[in-house]
Amino acid sequence: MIEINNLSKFYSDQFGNKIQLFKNISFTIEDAQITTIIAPVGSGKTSLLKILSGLEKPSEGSVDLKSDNTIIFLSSEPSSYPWLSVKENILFGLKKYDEAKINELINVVGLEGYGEHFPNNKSIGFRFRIALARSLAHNPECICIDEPFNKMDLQTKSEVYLLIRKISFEQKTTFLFTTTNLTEAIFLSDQIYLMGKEPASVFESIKIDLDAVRDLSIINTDKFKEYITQVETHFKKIDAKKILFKTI
Amino acid sequence: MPKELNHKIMMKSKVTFVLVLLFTYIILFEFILPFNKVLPKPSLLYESFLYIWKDYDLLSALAITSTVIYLAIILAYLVVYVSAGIIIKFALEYPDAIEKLKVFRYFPAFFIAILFSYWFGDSLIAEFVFAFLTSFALILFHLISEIKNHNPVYADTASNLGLNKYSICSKVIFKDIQPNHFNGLIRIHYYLWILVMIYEFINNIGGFGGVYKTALIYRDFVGLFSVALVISILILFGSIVINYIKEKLFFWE
Repeated sequence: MIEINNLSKFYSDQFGNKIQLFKNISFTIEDAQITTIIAPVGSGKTSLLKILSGLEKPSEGSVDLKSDNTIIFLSSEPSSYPWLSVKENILFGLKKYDEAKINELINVVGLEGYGEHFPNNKSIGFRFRIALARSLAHNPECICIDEPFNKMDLQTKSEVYLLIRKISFEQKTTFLFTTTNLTEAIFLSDQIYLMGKEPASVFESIKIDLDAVRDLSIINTDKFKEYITQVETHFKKIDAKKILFKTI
Repeated sequence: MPKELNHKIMMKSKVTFVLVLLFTYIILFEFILPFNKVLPKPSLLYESFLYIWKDYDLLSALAITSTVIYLAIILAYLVVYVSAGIIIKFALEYPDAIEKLKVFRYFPAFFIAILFSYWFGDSLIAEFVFAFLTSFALILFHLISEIKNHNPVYADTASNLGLNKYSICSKVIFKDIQPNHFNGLIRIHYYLWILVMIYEFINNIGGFGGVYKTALIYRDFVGLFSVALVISILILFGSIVINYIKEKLFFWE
């Protein structure tokens, strides 16, 4: 479990004015679950994930981990190295590794037979799978993924949604996502946190009580639609116009 | 558009351009303006092409100049390659120092060529040292100027995966900018050809620069033009080889 306590972030604009990006953000990420933060554009989602993974420092507050394992951050841009093969990418940064485990990870993310291939000129989905396998190889406390589906086509998105649900369920991996897309948030998540804007803070949490193993047909169920309405209603209350009410 | 197709179209248009230029030259200077003070007759050029190799000892000149240039570039590139991690780390940690060093970019290399020739005279080793130092400085400055084009996502990922700063600089940032950096060698090698020939011209060393000086003394217009043609072909060949190495080794651009 990861506890985020009263995180705040300030930055200075070009005139030297101190601006608060988000304030007093507190929430919990449960083990082996998928947690998603839905927030408007410009509310500091990327900064929040970078703080959780240690790439940025918070102005105030703390992130409490119960183990020494790292929190891996995956950017919205492809982060697999194009000069390394799929296998070399997965091994990148590992001090010791088990060959059988690496091969298993290649299979888990659906890249069997592509171990010696290079990711340059490959699709976003292919490169995302490599980054996912590399993250899993580090046995992380949590994988934080920043709006990963923005540039993916419909087919790839659907495949990756199912893959992430499968990995979370079978490998007991903890994920934290940020998104502006309600449908993908509800489909993927076990827990959702809603964030407002200027300065952003978490104003609502919703437990998603859907089957652990899901397929895309769940989107058309009444229960799923109820969750969509519930989230929309919360955002309408705070007048967040930039949330995208998309379907997959 | 696929990269290979784009490359083919570019090559085709280059070949077409050269052929049109050749055709225009032959028509204009063989038939319309055979006697002029601009360019020699193509037939005269063709006839003189064989004798200039013997008269000017062009084979030896070719060996001297091209060995000095390409050996200097290879050595300078290897030195920068080996120390790239330290260079990039220094450039990122001390950007102000790098900004101050950039003042040397405005220092004309021709002036260094003249200084070197006065200090060391007509020594072939001095010519090589000059070529090496010049290419090292050019490759180094090109590397520093490319650092700003690296993808910060790659560096963040490496940092997140626990790599130290030196490893991030050498294993990630350098690798990321390496295709563009290597691309710069084409431009650097054009520049080095000019500088080395100036050096040889000043010191009358037996390279192409020395050949040029002799041809100028004897006012051998056809010889000058023929040597220019040989040099152009060599530079073109050098560019093709550099490009080929880049395509094979740094394919991830």
